[in-house]
Amino acid sequence: MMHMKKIFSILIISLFILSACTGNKTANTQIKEVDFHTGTDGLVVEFVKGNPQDTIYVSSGKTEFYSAVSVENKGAYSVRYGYMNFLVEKGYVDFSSQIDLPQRFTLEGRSTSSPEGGYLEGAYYLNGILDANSAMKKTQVSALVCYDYETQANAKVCIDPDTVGRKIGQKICTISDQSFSGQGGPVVVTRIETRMIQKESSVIPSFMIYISNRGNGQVLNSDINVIQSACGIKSVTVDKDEMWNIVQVEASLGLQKLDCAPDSKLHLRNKEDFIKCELTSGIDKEQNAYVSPIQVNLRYGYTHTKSKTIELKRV
Amino acid sequence: MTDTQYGSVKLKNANLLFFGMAVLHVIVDGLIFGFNRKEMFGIFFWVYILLAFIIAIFFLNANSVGETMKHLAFFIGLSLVVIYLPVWKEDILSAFPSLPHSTYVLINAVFLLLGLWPFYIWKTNSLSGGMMTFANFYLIGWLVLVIFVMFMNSYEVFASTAENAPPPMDVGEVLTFIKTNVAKVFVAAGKAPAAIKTSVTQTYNKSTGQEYYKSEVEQNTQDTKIGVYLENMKAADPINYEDQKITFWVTVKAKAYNGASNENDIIPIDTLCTSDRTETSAREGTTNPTHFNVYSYDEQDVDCTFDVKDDPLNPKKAAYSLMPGDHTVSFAAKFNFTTKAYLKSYFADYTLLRSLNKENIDVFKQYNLEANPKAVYTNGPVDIGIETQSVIPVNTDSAPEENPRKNSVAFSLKNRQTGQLKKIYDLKLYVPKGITIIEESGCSKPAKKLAEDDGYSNIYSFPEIEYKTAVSADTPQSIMCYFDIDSDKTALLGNDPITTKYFKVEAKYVYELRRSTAVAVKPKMK
Repeated sequence: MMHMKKIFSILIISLFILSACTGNKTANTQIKEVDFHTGTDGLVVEFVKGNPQDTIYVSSGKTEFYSAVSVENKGAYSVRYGYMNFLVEKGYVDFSSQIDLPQRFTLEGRSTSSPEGGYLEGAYYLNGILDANSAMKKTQVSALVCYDYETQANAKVCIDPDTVGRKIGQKICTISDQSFSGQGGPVVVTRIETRMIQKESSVIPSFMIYISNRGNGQVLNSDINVIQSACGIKSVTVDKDEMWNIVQVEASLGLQKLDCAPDSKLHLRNKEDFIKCELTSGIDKEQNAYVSPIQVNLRYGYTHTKSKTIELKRV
Repeated sequence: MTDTQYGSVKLKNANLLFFGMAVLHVIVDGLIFGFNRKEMFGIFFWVYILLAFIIAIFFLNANSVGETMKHLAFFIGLSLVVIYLPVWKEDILSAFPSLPHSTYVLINAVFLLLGLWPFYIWKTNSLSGGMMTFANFYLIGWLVLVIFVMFMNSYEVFASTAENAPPPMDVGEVLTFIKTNVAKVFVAAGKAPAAIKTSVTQTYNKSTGQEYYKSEVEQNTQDTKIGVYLENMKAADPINYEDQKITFWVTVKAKAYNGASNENDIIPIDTLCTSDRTETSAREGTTNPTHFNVYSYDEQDVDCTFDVKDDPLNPKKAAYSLMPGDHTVSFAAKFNFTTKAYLKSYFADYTLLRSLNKENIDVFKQYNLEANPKAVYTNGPVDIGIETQSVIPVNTDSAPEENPRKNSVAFSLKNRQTGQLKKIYDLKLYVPKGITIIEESGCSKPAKKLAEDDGYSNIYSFPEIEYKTAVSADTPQSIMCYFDIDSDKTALLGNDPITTKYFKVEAKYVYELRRSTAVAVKPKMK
């Protein structure tokens, strides 16, 4: 009986030790939050390797070949209005069947539910054609992609109404300019400069928000008609002067919306520009310095072209 | 004391010294004081007068007062030109406020280099030892001054006082300009005569329909060139007699377009040979085969025989093959050939192009397009060049344009081998569907639209160029046509922002290749 008691005691102690070990393990496997608002990629379009092949051997008449395009959303925004058009040199390359890649598509951005971002692949058949007495011809097939996109930049800024240092005592923060690299979209907030503008009875927090196109394509107006027109999806009349390099900017300080001047539509020049956004309601001059989150939302369209040069060769 | 072009050596030295000091004065004025004529001109002018007096002391010892005054007047005049150059520069530049920045840099660079002028004159005038020492010091002084001002970098050189004049340059920028452009200037100067000749030739050719348009031959995968070539022509016997049959051999190499799947691409070759010692003794030989077709690639040995026969012009002479003496025997291969050429061009909505241009977006980069594509022609004896605008704007507005653009396409045919282009019997221009050649008056040679088409193009022929023999290596035959863009833009653009289309030219012609060899014919053996 004494022996049984000893065994039972050892088992109990062992269970304690085991449970203690398990408890420690649980403490070490916390879910790590991944920030998807990084990088400067939006949609990445590639020709699937070997499709089409670099050289297409053409017999008399037409020779059909296969081409496939992949589209990945490597940014943090889910595309709602994505369009794709294929540009070929008609007369040397023709479509031989209906394109099964949807010309309009949606594609999920990177998120906790889809860490890699959305992916789609489309294939289509083309015909290679050579002139009767031509031995070889280089030609190009291009995928033109246009889509809506957003960039969300989040930062913390110091709001200090005491710009001249009248108040005695240590401040919780000091005003400084901040630089950023990428927020999960091709258009990026690169810098936020904070200024406090003294008014009679209040202080107006003012922010110079610097925005830059860091992607490989061109920024479009976020208007759906413009995005469709840029890709030639349908014949729509748009104001071409308001087509390129337009970014809609919305900013908020905490829960308060900032007023951006002269309006929220920023026209990028040479791929970059800045906009001034203010909290026009102002803050009390006597308020102590505090840290506040600032959120900048950039809404825009985007377009770029992916091309592949192939050789049509006589068999 | 030796007399020189300027009088005595002493007088010459004094003259040159005076001129050099005047230039140095200008350089110091420019580098240090930026030609500040508003405040400093009086001071500098009086310094100049003082300098003239000092130099004049040298002249008092010269041979004659008259000679002294004559040369003094010349050098004072020259020096005044130098000292007033900056003032004129400002006046001239202010009259052209829209000149590009590089022009101002160039002018400033010339001014800076002006300081080397007296040194050059001194060096090339075999000055006395003392003056040479002075010249060397002058050069060092000039260099030190330029380098000093360059590294100070805060000084502005050749500052302009004119109100509308461009901002002044610093010496660093001017020197960088000199460094990067002097070599280019020399290279450009070397190429100038050829460029002028080319320009004059092009202007002449344009006015006479003989302009040449750029192109390149299509790359072929096979080593053998498409076309016809004559090789290895030689007499069958090393020694030939007038009373014996004389035979020559030549290898005809011919390559048709791959497989010549199209009947039109078969190369039919006619052969002939002649001996052309003199008009009276010229004889036509007999070739074998006289005709053959090349379907893909062929290497055919053709013989040319001069048989022994009577001479109707010389009935008393016994029958002979070729008269005794030296002869040039020519072998000719005459064949029909087709050359095609194409030029890629882009069509885009005019408002889209305008907006891209306004936003400084390169249309070629935006759509991954080949910028300024060159015409490509199929291999063969004739080079076809085509030119048009690389991006042709299409007005998609329903309202007609106030000032519609005049678009044109031009092409040229040029003989690229040593043979003769005997005649062009079919010449066609293919233009993308959606554009129309103005038939009657739109082309430099009348064009006629054909009923046929290839599904992508409208086809025009040029009947008047048929059966002409005017195309030689030096005088290309060129045709230019204006075209209209059809009101229905769907054929050209559809909904696409930009489309790639092709202009094509097809020429069918008769070409003759010749190859000659010399042969000595001996009299018959007795």
